[in-house]
Amino acid sequence: MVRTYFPKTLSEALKILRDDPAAMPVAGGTDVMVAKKPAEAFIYISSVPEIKETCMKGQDLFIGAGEVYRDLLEEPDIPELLKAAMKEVASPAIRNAGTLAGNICNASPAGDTLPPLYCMDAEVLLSHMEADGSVKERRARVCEFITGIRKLDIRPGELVTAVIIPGVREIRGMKMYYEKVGARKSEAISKLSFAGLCKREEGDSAVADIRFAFGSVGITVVRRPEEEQKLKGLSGDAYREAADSVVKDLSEILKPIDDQRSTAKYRKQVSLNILSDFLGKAGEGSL
Amino acid sequence: MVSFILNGEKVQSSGSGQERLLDVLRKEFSLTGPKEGCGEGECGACAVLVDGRLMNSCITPLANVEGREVMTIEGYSKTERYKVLERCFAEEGAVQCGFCTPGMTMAAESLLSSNPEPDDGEIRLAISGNLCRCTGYNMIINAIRKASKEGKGLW
Repeated sequence: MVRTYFPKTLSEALKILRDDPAAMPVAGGTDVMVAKKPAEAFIYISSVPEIKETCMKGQDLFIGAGEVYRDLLEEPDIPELLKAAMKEVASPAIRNAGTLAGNICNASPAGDTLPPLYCMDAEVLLSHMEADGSVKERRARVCEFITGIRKLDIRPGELVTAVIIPGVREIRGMKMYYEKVGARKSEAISKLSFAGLCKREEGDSAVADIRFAFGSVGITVVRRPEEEQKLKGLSGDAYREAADSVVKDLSEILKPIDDQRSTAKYRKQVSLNILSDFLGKAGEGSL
Repeated sequence: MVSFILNGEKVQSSGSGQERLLDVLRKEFSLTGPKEGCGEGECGACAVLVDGRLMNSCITPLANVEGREVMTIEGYSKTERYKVLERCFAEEGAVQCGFCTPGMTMAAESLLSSNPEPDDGEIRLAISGNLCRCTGYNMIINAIRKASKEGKGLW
């Protein structure tokens, strides 16, 4: 018999997870219900009010793990780059049920929101309850929390309670670039996707900060800060030269595969074309 | 046991929570308006409203409607809004085999209730999760546009 739990508070949810760590947390269910992998137990967290709030804490934006895409798209504090990806998630009905935290925990290389989250150095807030009833929290970077296809660095009893965007004001001040390539406009699982952020100092043609990440071209999202570093502080010919060399490096780094949605060759070529377009526009200041 | 409001009436399902809402509606409550097309949230034939929002009942666990209001095409068909949509769908030839129609109608209601005067782009976006293999969509878009004009004041 499958065990099912319907907690009404966060502390109740964490107690259930402490006592029955095999229970799989379910928010909208849009991935779990399709996978049809019977778990021994499910804990339905969509009625837990504490994880349905999005708020600023200091410089960081905390996005409640239970908030659905449709509501997140209305949040003024969420950067446009992340909204651009959320708008492309599946269809209206799925955006009424699915959550950002669910997209992270599903740990698919094609997760639409992951390239933006990697670019923004996003983190997850993990909570668990100790034997004495006290609640402990830790923060983990999304790029380290996701360790492989459907694999997470999560400990027994832990629940993702929020997604954190550190220094969100600075991110909102950056120019953004997002591209999702799929077989059709709606309901598509991406063949590949790309997210980019760029900042140039006021009155300066040099690139001050630049970040980019690729989806669906590896086991996890691909971001290479050492490549981004090569472009910082440059402008004009020096920037263009560095950009060419970054595209060349990425052609070695990206290792996509053939599958039912696309081919390795297509994925790599289109990813590099999009990278060149992004780097060109970032250099010209035309993003 | 899961309690919720189904087409305006308080009901209780004997399910334990992990069941698909679609199966509960069709088997336990004999509401066969919501259809199973793909069974994985891609075709929208199973679409219903939960607290007024469009949901694919084939991937909604029963647990997630506890305490909420579920409206299927059977409940919706008793409303004035439905009657306008029904007439406009018929007049515009927006129904052929009919399999997608209940879901398409719920998607139209979900759109018009939040945006009573949508443009064509907004109509296309609103039904982008509902597949129709007969009409080529244009007749459905025409029907929803017509309903928004002729049902002015209802939404």
